[in-house]
Amino acid sequence: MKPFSYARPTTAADVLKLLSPTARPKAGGNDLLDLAKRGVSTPATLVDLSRISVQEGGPRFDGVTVAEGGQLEIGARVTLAQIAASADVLRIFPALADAAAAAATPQIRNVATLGGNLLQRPRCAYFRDPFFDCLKRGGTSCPARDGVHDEMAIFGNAKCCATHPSNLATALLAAPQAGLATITVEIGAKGGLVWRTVELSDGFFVRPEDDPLIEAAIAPGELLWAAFVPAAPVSAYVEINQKQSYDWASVACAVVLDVEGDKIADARIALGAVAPVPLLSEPAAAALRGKGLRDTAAWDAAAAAATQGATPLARNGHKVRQLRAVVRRAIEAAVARSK
Amino acid sequence: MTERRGVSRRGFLKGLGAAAVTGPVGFAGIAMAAKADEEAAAVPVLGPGATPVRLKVNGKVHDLSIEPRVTLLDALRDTIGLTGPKEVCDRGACGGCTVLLDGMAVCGCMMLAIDVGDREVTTVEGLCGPDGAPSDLQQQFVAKDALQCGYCTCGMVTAAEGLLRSKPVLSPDEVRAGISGNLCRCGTYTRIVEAVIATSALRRKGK
Amino acid sequence: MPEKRKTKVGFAGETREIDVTVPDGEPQIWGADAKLRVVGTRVPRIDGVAKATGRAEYTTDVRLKGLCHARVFRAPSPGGKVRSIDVSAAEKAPGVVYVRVMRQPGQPVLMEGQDLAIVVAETPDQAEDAIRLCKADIESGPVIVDVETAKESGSPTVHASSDSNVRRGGRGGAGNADAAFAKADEAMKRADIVLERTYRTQVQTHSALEPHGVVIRPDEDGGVTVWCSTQGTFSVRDGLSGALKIDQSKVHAIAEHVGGGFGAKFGVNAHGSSFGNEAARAAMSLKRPVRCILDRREEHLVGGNRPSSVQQVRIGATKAGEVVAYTARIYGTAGISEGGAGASNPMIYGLGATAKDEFTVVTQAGPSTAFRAPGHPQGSFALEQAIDEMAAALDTDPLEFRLRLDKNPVRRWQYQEGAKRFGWAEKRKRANGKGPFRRGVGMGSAVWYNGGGPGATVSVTAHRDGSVEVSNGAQDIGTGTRTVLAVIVAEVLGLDVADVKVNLGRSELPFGPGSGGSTTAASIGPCARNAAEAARSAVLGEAKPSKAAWKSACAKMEGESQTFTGGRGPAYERYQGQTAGCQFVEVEVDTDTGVVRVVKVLAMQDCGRVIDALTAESQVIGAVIGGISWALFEDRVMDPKTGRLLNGDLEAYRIAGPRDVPDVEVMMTDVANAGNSVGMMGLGEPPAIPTAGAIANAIAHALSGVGDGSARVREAPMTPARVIAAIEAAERAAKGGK
Ligand SMILES: Cc1cc2nc3c(=O)[nH]c(=O)nc-3n(C[C@H](O)[C@H](O)[C@H](O)COP(=O)(O)OP(=O)(O)OC[C@H]3O[C@@H](n4cnc5c(N)ncnc54)[C@H](O)[C@@H]3O)c2cc1C
Ligand code: FES
Ligand code: FES
Repeated sequence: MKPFSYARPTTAADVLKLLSPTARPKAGGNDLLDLAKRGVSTPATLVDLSRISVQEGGPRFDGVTVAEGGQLEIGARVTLAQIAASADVLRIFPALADAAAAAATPQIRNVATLGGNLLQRPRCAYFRDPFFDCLKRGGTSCPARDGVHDEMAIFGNAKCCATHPSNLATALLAAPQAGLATITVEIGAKGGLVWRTVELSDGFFVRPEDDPLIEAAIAPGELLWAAFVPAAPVSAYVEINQKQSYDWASVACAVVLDVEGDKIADARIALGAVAPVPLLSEPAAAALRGKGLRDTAAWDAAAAAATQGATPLARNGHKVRQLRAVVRRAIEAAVARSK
Repeated sequence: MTERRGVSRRGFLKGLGAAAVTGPVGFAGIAMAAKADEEAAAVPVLGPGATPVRLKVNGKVHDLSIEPRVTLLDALRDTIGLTGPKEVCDRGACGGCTVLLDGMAVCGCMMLAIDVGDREVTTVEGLCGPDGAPSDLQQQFVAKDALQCGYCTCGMVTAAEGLLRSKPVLSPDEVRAGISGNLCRCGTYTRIVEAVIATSALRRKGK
Repeated sequence: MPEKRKTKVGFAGETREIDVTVPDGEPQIWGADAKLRVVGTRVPRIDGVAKATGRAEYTTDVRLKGLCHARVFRAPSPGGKVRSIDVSAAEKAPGVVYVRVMRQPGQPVLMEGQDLAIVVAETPDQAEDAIRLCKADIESGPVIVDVETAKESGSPTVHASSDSNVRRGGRGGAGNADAAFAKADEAMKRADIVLERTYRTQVQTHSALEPHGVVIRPDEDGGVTVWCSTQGTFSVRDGLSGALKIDQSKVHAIAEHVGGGFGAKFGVNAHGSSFGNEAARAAMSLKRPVRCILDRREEHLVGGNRPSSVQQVRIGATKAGEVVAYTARIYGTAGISEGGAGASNPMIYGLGATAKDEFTVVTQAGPSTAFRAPGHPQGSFALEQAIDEMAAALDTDPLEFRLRLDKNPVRRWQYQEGAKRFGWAEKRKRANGKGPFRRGVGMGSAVWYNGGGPGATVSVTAHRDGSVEVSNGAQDIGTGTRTVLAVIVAEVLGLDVADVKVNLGRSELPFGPGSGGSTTAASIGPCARNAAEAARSAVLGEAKPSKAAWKSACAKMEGESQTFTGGRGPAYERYQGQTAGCQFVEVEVDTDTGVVRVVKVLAMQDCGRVIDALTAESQVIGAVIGGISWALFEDRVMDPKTGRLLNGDLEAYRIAGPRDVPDVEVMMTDVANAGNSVGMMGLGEPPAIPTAGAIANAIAHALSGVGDGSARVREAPMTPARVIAAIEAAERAAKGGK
């Protein structure tokens, strides 16, 4: 790693004043250090987020809270281990606990945070090696498309075929109206703090077509503060891994069902590890709407529908079959959580 | 990094609708902004050169002078001289560098020493008794032959200790899941599971 | 005069008496009827506590006063010739004390990772910072990493001196391949069924968790002390003595604890990098100790690897089930090295006329080197599958078929006992599921020939207080050598294992072999017994060995201590000149996702006389786990356009973790083998051979109810993508498509 300096502010305002394209906020540091060790990023300063004292009353940077109305508020600094073990998450939005438990290793989960997980960069081997001319690092094309892309995107891969790495992103996207709160310092004289809330499914994740250099619509001077998740108890996240010990998902799916009686009134199905951004599959959801909860033909139809429009590359066609399987299994797992 | 997207694109205060966001967002933000403005003290920026870092390791305090980029693992091995934790992958993928931070297993290679703060670091050396005697878990590793070349062993023992502290009663599958961040090239997993289960049983019996 | 002695040899399934010519001065062999107190029991390894508490010092742990740190500046990709290497900025960088260019203008850059320069600095970070300041100007050149294109005639060549990348002749040379093929072709005419199949295996890197590394300290007498992560203490001594032109007596090599080797760690360098020699030169010139440890990516690049293979196999059999011929044309890549990319499949089975022709395809990748049973797992992957495919064609149970083809008494016994214990017959019959998860079982076999040899000496020192030291310069790379020596000596002297101190891994100690070919324990174990027997008769005389007797005899001994040495000669008569093994595997295949899980393994293994049942079983478990990892996960992946390694880590280079392996059950077949005074044979490698082929067979069995039943994965690693491809082909075939 190249040398960097280190700032340890204690208020959000101080953090925000320090942030810049070369002064990066550091949460668990797992992705930052990986990128720095590989020479992909060379931050001049790391701004530690661990000492910001948390304000009473507002949305919390730490901890899982259940707000009025029953929705979850999860601070950006909450670790994956805490999410996986939280009784509140398991009760209110179990898909998120599934996703956190399936991510990384026990040691990493003890340190990695919600914010860092959502904002981590892709794991594409070409992206993570400065040797290659990669679109995501300002290069001219995607070397993976003509190279080794066995584990890469089967949707939206025309420009860049890196998949979105975050488990939590897939789970959160499946929750209706899940949102993030961010803060920035107002540009201008006074430097007051400005809050922004953004719905996850409303442009937070950025496709390479729109801007290959980033994956999330968050400014360099902005801090992710918390996630809000409305109650979605009939939900599950399932991923398929080549290796069971720990492995990045080959394909992943989060399902949220709105159940009325023994019918599926509404469904949201998010697909992970198949595209540069997590995807909501409307055809899959449509195949479930109005169907019986245990109508397995509908599950199969939804699973098949999820693969509609896939554009696998030369070496990753197997992911289409895997995707069908993971969608089917995620629906089944969600149904098992009904009532 | 680009400035052109994100903030500018969707506007700052796009609401999520009543169902998703509660009132307090705005309130807390304003309250905090006001407060933050008052105490605009200068934030000390440390490094990039050597800077004082205090680490509490195995019950001892070490005052070091190291660069911010130094990982906890390097500080332990190169500066303090505790070489139990090993550097194997240097990327959080093998667990060879596992240490406990306030009892919780973490990868020393993916954490900066400067980030440790007041938390107590325990390395495999620190799991031994005061006279260096092996702990019950370390003894079980030996008894079950849960080690061959031994290079992964320090990380395995430490990860397993963290696991046992967080969950004293474990099934074999839970042990496997709990040490799934650790790799062993010699192939000792089967016996590590036996060693951890045996230790768990011994601890329940009160040694 | 060597005397002939009657000795009972054999194992649970068969014993017999043979005449054995015991060399002068050697004790009576521990035969099948020997009553042994410690040997064969379960003894925890004696360096276990040191390893489990972090006290064991590996090369990477050595910290010396004034230590400086070296890093190698490496080529970022293969290319043409070096135009220039500019290290001027590195030389001026903070903390840098030494820089030397290792590749000169005009020399070719054959692969990513090629040594270009070495930088030594006061701290590891300073060395790394300085490496970033080094610049290489390298001509561009063709990229040759794909085996199929590299082997085509007209392909650009890796080595400018030759006009083709293909080298005929692997292990054993091309020899009589043409004649053997002619004979086999002739024999093949008798076959009613001839199967032609191609099997493929991938490049696997050793990935020992302790990387290659040295710490080298110049000594005042003009010599050096070198700590090295090695499988050959003496190879390190000899290598440095040659490189620095100093006497062997002045090079002290230390390999106290070694974090794995698996074949890649001989000498002071890595197979693809002379970092050790360079670090030594730096140390000599600086007159300071220098440490140079490879990082993980370097390990993958230059640390050695198991070559790939493409094996075009033909097997022919009569309807009656006699195999009349087996031929294999094999090619693979050993990277830039020019030989030995073949696959070995010694004839475990009676296959009639056999022939093999091997080709190495040179590519721009790290050179391969010996890797746990070199060539054998590859050959076995093809052979065991071909046997199963033929069994299926003959409508015969694979176990029955092997029993018909295999004459080895130990393996035949293992087949039968193992099958009972494993529940082979029921599992083979059982409908293997209707849902997506299908179970199947398969098997494979192993043979190994090494039982160690002469050359080593072990010393046993009796101290006046009754304590005992056993010394040999060889290293323990995790195989349990230290413990094996302690067990043998404790047995002879009537002591507990804890009473025996073992000194290993130092070149000042008596010579011991490198850990290769599964020969270490069997080479020095008998020496230890012979030395201990000399000690016993000198110190104890005719008294019955016991702790008390030993203690009191030592107290009365002349001098403060007495040292006895023992060697061993070549193998003498024995039960058999080989060891036998077989493995039974059960898998579960997720047919919707292609994910394979190994759910059960039973390994039956013979290593001659079992010295320590506990550590012996560990060796077998470890070999099986390594086999699972190779069969399902590991694969070195290079970018075809640039020749750059894409997974130089332990994340995308997948190694089986705790949840990827089942409980491995081991049944050691204790064979009183004679051949040496202990009856030992080698163990480290043979159980690594059959696992992958057995898994492939189990997968095929699991998939026998899918589509037209023809699905089989003939390429390792057997990834979800390949499993799915096999399943989808079988599904298409069932639908009448192609
Ligand atoms: C071996 C291994 C396996 C893994 N497997 C998986 C997996 O299967 N699935 C998965 O999802 N992940 C996996 N991960 C990734 C891991 O979950 C992420 O690296 C981790 O969550 C990042 O969190 P962090 O807190 O360490 O982030 P950091 O590294 O601290 O930060 C990551 C990025 O987010 C920014 N950031 C962090 N917090 C904020 C904030 N509050 N506001 C603004 N910006 C912020 C940082 O500036 C940085 O750019 C794996 C990692 C490893 C090492
Ligand atoms: S060295 Fe830290 S996890 Fe591998
Ligand atoms: S014992 Fe060698 S790596 Fe685990």
